[in-house]
Amino acid sequence: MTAVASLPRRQPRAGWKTSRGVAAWVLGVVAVFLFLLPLIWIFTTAVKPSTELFAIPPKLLPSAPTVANFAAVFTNGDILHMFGNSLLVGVLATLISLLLGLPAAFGFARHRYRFSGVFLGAVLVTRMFPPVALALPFFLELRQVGLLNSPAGLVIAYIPIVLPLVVWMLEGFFREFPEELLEAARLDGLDTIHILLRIVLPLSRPAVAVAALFGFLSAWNEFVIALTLTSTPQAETMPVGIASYVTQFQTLWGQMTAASVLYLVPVLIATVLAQRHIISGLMSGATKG
Amino acid sequence: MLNWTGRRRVPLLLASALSAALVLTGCSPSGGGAAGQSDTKSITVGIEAGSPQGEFFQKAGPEFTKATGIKVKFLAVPHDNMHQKFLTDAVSGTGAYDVLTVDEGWMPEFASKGYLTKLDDALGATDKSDFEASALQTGTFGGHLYSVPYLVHNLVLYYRTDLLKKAGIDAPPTTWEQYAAVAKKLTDSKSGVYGTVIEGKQDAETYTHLMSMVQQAGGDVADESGKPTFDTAAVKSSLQFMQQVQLTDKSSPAGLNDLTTEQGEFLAGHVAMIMMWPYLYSMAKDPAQSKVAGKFAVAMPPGNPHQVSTNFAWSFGVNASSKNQTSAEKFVTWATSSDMLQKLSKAQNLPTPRKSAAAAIANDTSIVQADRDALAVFTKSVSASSTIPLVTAFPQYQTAMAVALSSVMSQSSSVDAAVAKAQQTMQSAYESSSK
Amino acid sequence: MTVITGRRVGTVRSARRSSGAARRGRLTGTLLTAPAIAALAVTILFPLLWTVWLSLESFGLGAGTPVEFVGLHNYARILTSSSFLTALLQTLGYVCVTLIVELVAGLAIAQVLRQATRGRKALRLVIAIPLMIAPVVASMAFRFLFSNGYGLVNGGLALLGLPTPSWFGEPWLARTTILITNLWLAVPFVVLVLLAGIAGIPDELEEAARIDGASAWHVFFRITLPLLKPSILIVLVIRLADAFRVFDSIYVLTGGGPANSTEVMSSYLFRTMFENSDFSGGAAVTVLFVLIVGIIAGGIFFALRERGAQA
Repeated sequence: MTAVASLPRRQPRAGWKTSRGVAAWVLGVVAVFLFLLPLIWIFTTAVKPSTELFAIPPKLLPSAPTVANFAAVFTNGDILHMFGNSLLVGVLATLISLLLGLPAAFGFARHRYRFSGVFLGAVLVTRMFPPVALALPFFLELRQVGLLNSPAGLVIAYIPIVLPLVVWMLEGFFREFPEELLEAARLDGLDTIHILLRIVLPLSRPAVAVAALFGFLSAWNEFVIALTLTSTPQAETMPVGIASYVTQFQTLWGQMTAASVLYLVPVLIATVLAQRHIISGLMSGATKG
Repeated sequence: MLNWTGRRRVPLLLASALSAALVLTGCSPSGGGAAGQSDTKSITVGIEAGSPQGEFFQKAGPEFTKATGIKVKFLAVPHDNMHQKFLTDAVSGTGAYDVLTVDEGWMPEFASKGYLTKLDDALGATDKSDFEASALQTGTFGGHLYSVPYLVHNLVLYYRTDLLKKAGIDAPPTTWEQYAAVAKKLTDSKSGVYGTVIEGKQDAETYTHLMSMVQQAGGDVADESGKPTFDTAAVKSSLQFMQQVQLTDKSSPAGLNDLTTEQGEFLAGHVAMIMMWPYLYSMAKDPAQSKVAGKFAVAMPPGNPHQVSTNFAWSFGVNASSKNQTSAEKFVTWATSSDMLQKLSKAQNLPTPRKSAAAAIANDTSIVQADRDALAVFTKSVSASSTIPLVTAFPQYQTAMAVALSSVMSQSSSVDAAVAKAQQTMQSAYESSSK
Repeated sequence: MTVITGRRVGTVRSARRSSGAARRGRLTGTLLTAPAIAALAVTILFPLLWTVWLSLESFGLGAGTPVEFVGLHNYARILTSSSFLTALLQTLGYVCVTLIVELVAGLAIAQVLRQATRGRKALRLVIAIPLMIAPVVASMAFRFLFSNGYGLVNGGLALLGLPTPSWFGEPWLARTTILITNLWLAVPFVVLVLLAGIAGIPDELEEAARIDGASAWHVFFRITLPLLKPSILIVLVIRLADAFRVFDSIYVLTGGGPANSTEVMSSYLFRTMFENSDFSGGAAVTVLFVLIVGIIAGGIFFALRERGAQA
């Protein structure tokens, strides 16, 4: 297996044929099952009829799977609108953050100036910032300009969340960028913009993709700012919509999990497709929102 | 609105510049503040998610459109979020919700802050006198009418006729003592049946049970001026009673219960008696939704000694920042018209705040006797009881009471300590609101 | 790690250039970074400064409510309120506990996983999944799992013959559900960073120690752990910031209850603004919150720089 070949050095302690190996394997499967239980529960509940939800003792798998929950979600215009909002706001916030953050990360990494260290530190520090502290000022500001309960207002509010993340992830990458290529391009007479576009960007696609993915996710999964700044499905995002399946009278678990499945599937697909890059991005000290 | 100084303009202008750039993407910002009388004849009504009454009005929406030509869209908001969402919308000035479902608890707050349009002129004199005086009071603040009630109700006793009969009990309990004794007798852990459900969760509904019990004990959580009187014997004895039934007798499911538990367990047939709102009646007699159809009845709440429960009103109000004031007012008057309220009362077997609707129901021969008896209980319970203090600080009272209740029921605080703490919180809320 | 050492390499590099090119380089740098800095100044710095100003005023958001300058009155009001102090203490308690548990669990799991030879790629993918899932969605799942009666956690406990508590009915149990939910979301990150750190430790060091007769514990504590310090510090700084932000799980799982036992700064701030409609108090809480996080995060950050300088 390539995994074993690429990570040498260690002799396998227990081959899987020994009893200790089998025990470890069984334990591993159980551990993975328990670890993934929340996810498994979401997917199995999404196809459960409501009569099977509260079985005691609890049953994980439905005996009569149904698509009723998904049908309910797809005919619910409000939830679909919220899905669209999440997509719109996430994509816009990420695009703007990349537009601002890519040059900035490159500048911080390769074109230092007097206070660039301080500014970089300041930008990175904002990564530590609790977004809920922005709830009040954004609430009041957006209220004054009439952007409360609008996707545009939400995009503005997400910039301080996505942009520092993008800068953080790309700055480290750009610092490692081979100087020779930049020198050669400079000698060829290219100005900085063209260096960025023609030389740096094509070679940085994986890193930019990972930064974009994590930036997008930090907006996609965000809850408290969306909760504060929106009040109707015109601007509400999916996390807010999913949380509002809890009513005073009952929680609509079936529809909620169906909506969650819709919300998770794009993320899971992206995770599988980009797993190599994600994990190496994470493991080099980068982070999610 | 905030008075602006020059210093505040700078960040605002920068934020505006940034947002102006984003406006080009086609996401149009709503103009701040209510515009002129540019009524678009299309309104949004905010209703409580999951509420049968909300669903009733939602289904009747097309009737309204047919009658007035005004398009109406309903947005459902969970009860726990209503205050926050409606507050946000009211404060934002965008008027995304034209008509609000007003919970009596925050009517004074919204009214005092100018979030609700005055409806004194929207309702004619005959309409006004058709409402029970106490009902219209629930929407009145500072001498003006801000919301019109479609339902004034309180907690009554729902009990399983079959289980009581089997245990040899021929009448539902009328006192706390009897209630606790019956609950204990009917609790059978083997068959998974509980005598009752005592609520204790920290949310937006459980405190209503505590308030009702306090009034049953002859006290109240606030006096006539709205000043909190929570640190009193009536409150303490109510909490001690709830503790006794829940923790000592164990006649209620373990943990901190809420309305969801009460509804779920009663409809599933797992509990013998609950204190519950009238809405559950039509759900419980429907075999498609309930396992106890035909096996239950309702009765006046048990007293100590007063057989009362706190009245709460659900009303419709008009968002002051709505751009469609006329259409919104039309909806409110239509939804609370005698005709609509009569239909609501009949469809869901609910007490009605309008005298003409009540009279029409009384004369409606198609209503079966059992339903009539239940309706009589609901109505009698409301007329025997009084409502909450109409103070602007009531949302904070709500939270303080919910915290006290949950700390007592989770045994993380003694009754005296919890009550004293809540009194303190309520007192400071009262003081800062009356400044 | 690159975060610490990067800056030094940069200064060495720029010294090599000629002064003219250097000046152009600096100008380019300024132009490249200015838009992002401006955007962040507008969206974070100015709003924060404005909030500080607002916190010195008393205002409401209703019609005709006056705005008056009250100096530190809001701060006095908030700092003497027992609910603020409760929220603060519970936040600090939560942050401490979750960091410790995350590190210990992360280290343990990383140590176990490094020995897995088959399916390493699949394992890492599985571990990375909770990182991509919205905390709200995960919290809703755990809300069901921890429920009385039909919840899978109690179902599993019943199967094993263990007592089935009411998870949301008692303060410490409710806090445990919050902790477990956030551990599920956060430990994968810790594990992945630590695995990277472990991969950077040459095998020979540990082999040599083992050949010399050192026990596994000894190897771990005297060799592995010290060499993992940079990774651990990275994890600490990032997770510290994230732990202070916790909101989604509390909103969905407990709503701050029972009896406010799971109330933290972010939920307290939300409640102050939208339940009590106390926006001037909210401004004061915001400023205090930022100060507290800033001081603690700054302290750890400078401790990190110290170690970086030594390393």
